[in-house]
Amino acid sequence: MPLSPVHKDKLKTNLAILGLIAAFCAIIFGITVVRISAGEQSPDVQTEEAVSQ
Amino acid sequence: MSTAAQTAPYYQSRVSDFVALLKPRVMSLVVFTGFAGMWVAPGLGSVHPFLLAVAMLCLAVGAGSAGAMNMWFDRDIDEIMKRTRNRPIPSGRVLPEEALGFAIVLQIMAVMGMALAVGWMAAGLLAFASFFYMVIYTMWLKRSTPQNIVIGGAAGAFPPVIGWAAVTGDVTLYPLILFAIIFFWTPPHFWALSLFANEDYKRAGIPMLPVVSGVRTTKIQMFVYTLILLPLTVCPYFLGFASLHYAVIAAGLSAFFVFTAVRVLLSEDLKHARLMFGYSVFYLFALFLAVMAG
Repeated sequence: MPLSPVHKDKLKTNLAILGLIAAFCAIIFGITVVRISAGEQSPDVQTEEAVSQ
Repeated sequence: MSTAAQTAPYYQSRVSDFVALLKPRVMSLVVFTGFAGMWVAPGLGSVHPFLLAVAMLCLAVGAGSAGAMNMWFDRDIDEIMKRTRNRPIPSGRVLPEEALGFAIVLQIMAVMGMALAVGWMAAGLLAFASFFYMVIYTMWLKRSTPQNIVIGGAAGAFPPVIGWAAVTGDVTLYPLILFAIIFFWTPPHFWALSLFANEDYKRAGIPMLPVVSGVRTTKIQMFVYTLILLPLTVCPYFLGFASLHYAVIAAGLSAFFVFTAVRVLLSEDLKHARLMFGYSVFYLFALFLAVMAG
């Protein structure tokens, strides 16, 4: 699809905004992974697993 | 608001213009003092490094977005002052509404990110510090009282408390002392600037102390605040939070700060005010470096 002059003018800024949103999503994902890993390794979870076995 | 700021010719904005909105130099000081608060907090090793890095990023972005909101609100006086007329909004490189939207979204992202990464205490403090800077200082105090920078400067004193809260989840005496150090550092720092930017503030109608009460009163107040900093910066040693090495370095740095204030007080030459302003930036960095090392 051909880009209009307005598209071309705003392309870099819009790509930067897209990058910012993607970075935010990646950070939230990373926080989730770290917190879930920390939860799996916590003494409470290990005790529950030992009891259930 | 002046209509001049609304009718400046609009040029296509670039990414670097939006970065400039965030006041990167102020951000670096915020991040450094925030990191210092984090570094000296007990239990630093028990928090995942990724979460701490996210907390620092959120602190930087939160501070930056507060700076962007400040630039949005102050665009009318920024256009009048020589020091600030080249900023993105008064120069027409960024539209006011673009800047405001950018700032609000970043602030929400920063507070949310902080809350998810390290908890609600640090996020709440970040949100409050931004609110204090934007509403209490920028919208209310800055244009209405010569004590604007004394009270409003509290916003810049929050970062070490936020860093501490990011690690421990609470606030105790030590981070409050670090808060107090920055709080009492802020007035002499900004009044040194206002001494050699006096005409600019006068033109813009900002009631900075030199404009309202005169240069002599301002110089005396600057001297008094540097005297207060001398025992305050040594306080952490006597309370058992820092080492003797820190106390010696802090005493030396603070004593020299007092010396620069005395030179400003005794001389009409604005060169001493410029030197004091430059030293005040080095002073805070060096002091917090000593806090981390001690």
